[in-house]
Amino acid sequence: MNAPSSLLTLLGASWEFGAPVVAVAWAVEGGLVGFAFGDGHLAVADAQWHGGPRVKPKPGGGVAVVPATEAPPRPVRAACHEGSCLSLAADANGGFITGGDDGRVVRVPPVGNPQVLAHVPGGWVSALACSASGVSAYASGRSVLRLGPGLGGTQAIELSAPATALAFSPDGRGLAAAHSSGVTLWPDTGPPRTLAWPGYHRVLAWSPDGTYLVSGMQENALHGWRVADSGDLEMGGYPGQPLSLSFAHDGRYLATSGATRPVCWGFDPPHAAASPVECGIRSLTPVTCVACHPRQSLIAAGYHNGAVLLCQPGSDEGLFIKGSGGGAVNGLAWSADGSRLAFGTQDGVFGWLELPDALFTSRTRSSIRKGQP
Amino acid sequence: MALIPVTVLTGFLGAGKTTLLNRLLRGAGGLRYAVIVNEYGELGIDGSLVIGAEEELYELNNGCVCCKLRGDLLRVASSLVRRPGGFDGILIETTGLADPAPIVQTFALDDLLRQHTRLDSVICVADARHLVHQLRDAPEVGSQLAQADLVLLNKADLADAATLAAAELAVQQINPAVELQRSVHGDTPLAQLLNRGAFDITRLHVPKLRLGAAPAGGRRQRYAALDAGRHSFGISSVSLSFTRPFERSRFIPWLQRLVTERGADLLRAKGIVALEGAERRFVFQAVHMTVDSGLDRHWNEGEARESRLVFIGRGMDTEELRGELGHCLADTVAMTP
Repeated sequence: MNAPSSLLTLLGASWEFGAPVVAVAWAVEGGLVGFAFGDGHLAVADAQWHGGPRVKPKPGGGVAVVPATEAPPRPVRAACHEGSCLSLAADANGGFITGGDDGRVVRVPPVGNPQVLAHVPGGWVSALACSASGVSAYASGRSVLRLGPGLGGTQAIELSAPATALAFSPDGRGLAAAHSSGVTLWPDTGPPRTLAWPGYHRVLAWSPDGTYLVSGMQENALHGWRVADSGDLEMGGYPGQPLSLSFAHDGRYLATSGATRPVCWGFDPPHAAASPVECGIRSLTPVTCVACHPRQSLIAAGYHNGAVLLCQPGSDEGLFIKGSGGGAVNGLAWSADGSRLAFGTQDGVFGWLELPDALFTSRTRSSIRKGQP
Repeated sequence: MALIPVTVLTGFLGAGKTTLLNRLLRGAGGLRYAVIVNEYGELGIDGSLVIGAEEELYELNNGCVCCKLRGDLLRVASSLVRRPGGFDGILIETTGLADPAPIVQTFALDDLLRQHTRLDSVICVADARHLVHQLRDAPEVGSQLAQADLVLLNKADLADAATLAAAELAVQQINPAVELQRSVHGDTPLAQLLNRGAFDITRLHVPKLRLGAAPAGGRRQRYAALDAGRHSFGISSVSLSFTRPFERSRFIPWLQRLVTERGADLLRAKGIVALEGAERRFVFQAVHMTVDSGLDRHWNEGEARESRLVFIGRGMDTEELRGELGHCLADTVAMTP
């Protein structure tokens, strides 16, 4: 899977720090992207690149790239945790929140020094989530805690097993916590309820309208629930563990890792007879990360060998963002407006690039031309 | 990329596991370990990372009761592989009542852990004075001995010769492939505890049959045939050797059927097998239904192409296994009814 040239070198910036990237997230205000590292640091890169490369549509189709005239701004590194960063989320109030194996929850504001929001002595903060309304939730062992405006201090519940992942529903009114044997839903008012399903649930994704909640399981399968009536959806047959899930912006499909190509499940609506569809180029190396574009039907896929590709459901084509190298892709994230993509790898390579719409409209035009000669 | 070695330390309560762990951490010669424990105790060695993980067992959704994983261990170990160069190995201390099989299966079955770690060894610390009684009283002791590749008969200085010999015989009846060492205050040289490669199928150790021979330690024992597993909750072992090669098309399906149908009772199995027409050794090891197998090195010139197999489990019947395996040998005259 070697690319002749990659979009990253043309349109982006990348760096290397000597520690694995654990997670990647864009700050809500856009323009800032955070990379959490296994050595306890958070690197924040400013994507406002004066003199950076630009994409210009050419008359008659295609695009021209105007190369950068200045170097990209260097990422700023903040020491957040004594050991490893374990979790990262964009704070609704700006900046980032990280959790670490020193038991700390740390807020890194856009400007200024990191502040410790909470401390669980001897614990690990393995999962974090922030809602759009500014509520932050974190998990350490079986305890799930949340704090933020309107809660009157920190609230806590105990799960039946240690939490593996947290995710707020899109409206921010419910918090889902994954664990062994199911997922616990903790509404903003009222007691928690459990969506039970045997097995070990490790990652979570909400459909954009909050109708469905899907977990990625250790057992090479997904399990979904229709949240309103706890109806079950079983999705299996993966050769590996699907530990990265991403819903399309319109909720029409769910893209996942767990195979050597991104796997898409129809959710328009989901039905028992539907089988999943693989997309992107054929590969021998497993997909480790997927991220759906926030406005278009595009999937960014990261691979175990470090490659990053853009692909579309139903298509065998792929557009290289980055060739192989740098170790497995551990994190991929689109900026909220979809104009930038950031990535980070196991060997500590990380970066971001501009992917303006002009790039895709011209590609679409040329592929239409190819299809109808 | 170097894989992180993982050592599992098991042993019954009071056997001296914590003493050994402390020695390992102190004398590690500059090596740093991440230690995963069930409960924080007296441990707290400078420079080592001690992490608590719940002993959370869950069954895989595949309908097999023996395929159990340790969920919380997955969570903790998956985060450890994202921690750069901070440590040289992972030590997992289990509680005295834990069955080590789910730990072995956790590392064998998870994609990420398989990519970044290698299970190096399961070490069982046993109290030489009490082992024989404990085997009779608690089923976990038999499982721990079955999964181990090294058994340390600790507190050997406090046991008399007959007790020590009985303990050694008991260990070997359950696990004939195990390396057995006597120790005092866990004083085994550290080099013998680390980097054992016990789960590397290319370094598989399957001993020659030694019926009636003296157990390790050099003391002569009278061999007495006992009902297998009479004193150990039905856990016993069967060691077999064959000088005739196996027919691949019969042996492999048989092995698959064995682990599928009897995986729940099969605690551990391993073998070095000569296949008809193969110039290389076929090696396998299994923990319940989890099997690792492959072709290993070439048989050496002049080396006897002898197949050696060990099966440890509940209700393992020597004659039954010998009979079934006999049908898998090459050039067997087909029995027609």
